[in-house]
Amino acid sequence: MLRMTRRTRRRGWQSTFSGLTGLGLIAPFLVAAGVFIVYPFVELLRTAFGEPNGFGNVGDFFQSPAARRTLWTTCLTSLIVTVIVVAAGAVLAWSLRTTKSRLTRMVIALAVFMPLWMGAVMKIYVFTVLLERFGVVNRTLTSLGVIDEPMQLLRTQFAVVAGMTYQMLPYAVLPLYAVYVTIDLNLIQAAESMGASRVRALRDVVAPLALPGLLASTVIVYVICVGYYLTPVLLGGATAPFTASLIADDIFNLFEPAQAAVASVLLLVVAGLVILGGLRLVGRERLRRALG
Amino acid sequence: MTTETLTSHAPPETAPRAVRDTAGRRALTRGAKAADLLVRALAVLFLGVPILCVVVLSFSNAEVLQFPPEEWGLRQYRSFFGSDTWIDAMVLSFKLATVSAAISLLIGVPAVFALHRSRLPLKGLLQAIGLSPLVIPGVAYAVALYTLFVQFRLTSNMAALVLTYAVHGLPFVLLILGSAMARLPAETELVAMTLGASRPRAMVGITLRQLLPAIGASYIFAFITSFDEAVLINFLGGPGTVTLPKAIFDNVKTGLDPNITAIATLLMAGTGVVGSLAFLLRRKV
Repeated sequence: MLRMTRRTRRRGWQSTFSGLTGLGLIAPFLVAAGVFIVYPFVELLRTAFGEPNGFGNVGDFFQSPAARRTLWTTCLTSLIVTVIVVAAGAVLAWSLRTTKSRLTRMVIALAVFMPLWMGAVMKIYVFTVLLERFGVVNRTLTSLGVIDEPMQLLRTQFAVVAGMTYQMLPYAVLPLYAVYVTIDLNLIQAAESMGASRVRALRDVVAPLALPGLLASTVIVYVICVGYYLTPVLLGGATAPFTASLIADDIFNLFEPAQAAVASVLLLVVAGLVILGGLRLVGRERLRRALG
Repeated sequence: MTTETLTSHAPPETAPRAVRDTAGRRALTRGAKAADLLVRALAVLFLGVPILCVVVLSFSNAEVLQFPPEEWGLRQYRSFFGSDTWIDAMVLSFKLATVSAAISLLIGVPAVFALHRSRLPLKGLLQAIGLSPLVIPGVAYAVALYTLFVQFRLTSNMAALVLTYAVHGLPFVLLILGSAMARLPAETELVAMTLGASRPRAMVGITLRQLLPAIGASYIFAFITSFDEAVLINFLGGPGTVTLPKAIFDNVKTGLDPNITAIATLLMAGTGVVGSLAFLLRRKV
């Protein structure tokens, strides 16, 4: 009898599965993630530090001023885009959260959601149409008399910044909105009733509450920007100094997979450092939430 | 507004200072308001104008892109539907996305159960690995997969591509289904079991059934991700595999086919409908 009870208790009704059942359930995931996520990075490292020069491949990369420049341009451009995206995203999300006008809410929500419905290449196509030599922007500006002749907009750093901002902004607004939802708006009234101006209330009451969420979004946006491929390659043009273009050139034109792998590893290092910083500053849960 | 009413109650001896403050504050607030309005307007214009342009241009009858269009009509739509290249690419993308999103679910749904409802060790690490395709810099991930595909000569291998896309859609299953499952109390299954249900019956009848809307939403997200995927395909697809995003990529590189405006408009409408459906489904749990 006693033995029976003990057995029942051990197999007892628990709301969680045993580790073994869990392993069975997660087995397909382990195989898929092992083959298509973990192993490719092992192979990437082997390629980066393999032929022709082993670890000297990294030295080769930094020997080339052009390659060094791409890394710098990529990091800097991503930083510019991140600042614009988080700042504009913070304002838009705050408007969504606080506006009482249905029209404002609808206009902002539509502006945020519609780009999300368009695939990444589509967005770049649209920007090419807009920024072409005889594209929409140049036509409009010339016919308004702002400029005399069409400007070179496409295949510039400006085009890349604009394109990347366009891709990232909607993705940033949604998690930021989710952050704001957790902030009690009565706090603003409370601060104002004690004599604070609206700006002061936002600065001293709302901003500290929103700051961890904003930082988390900054980290996520930066990391995604660093890895952009389509925008630099298509809007920046073939010769633009972006690491993505360099990688494409190494693989598709120069057939130097090792150099492409080194560049990829360097991007991973940059992203990894930024994520580590984010983990230390705001923790894992907030970063996860900033993913949307 | 609030500041004005407040200072009107201020004690008289501090009045001059308060008045000066209020004026200063009001100017500041006004400046901040103007800045806020400017940022909002610019951001909305920046987000909205490109979309309006592409929709307007899609109804132009011209053979080349021109803005504003001189003649209106459905020419772009007609020539898109009449073009084998575009239709083939679209069908291929559709097939790829349908299958790979289904595989994402097959892998992801049991995994979410294991990650949220089992005493498996290292769950945090496994979850992080599953989500990593979202944060790993895209190019680096593409090059990593490229090295794998080159090593095993998988380029232009459809099965490998489908599986890659399935893993690419996996983070959405983990995120959407995971957050839905975290909101379901685990004990309801036990309640069903006290009422006589077996463990599998309780799992399917209680938890899985309540998760159905979230499963639908995850499928839609995984589908859209695969359908729009344009980076990996460049590195893994080889010359023979032309999905819709790849076809558009190649087109943007060489010239601009105005038919794409029609495709973009149609897809935006389609994604809008399906995406809103996913949004509603997510709210259900």
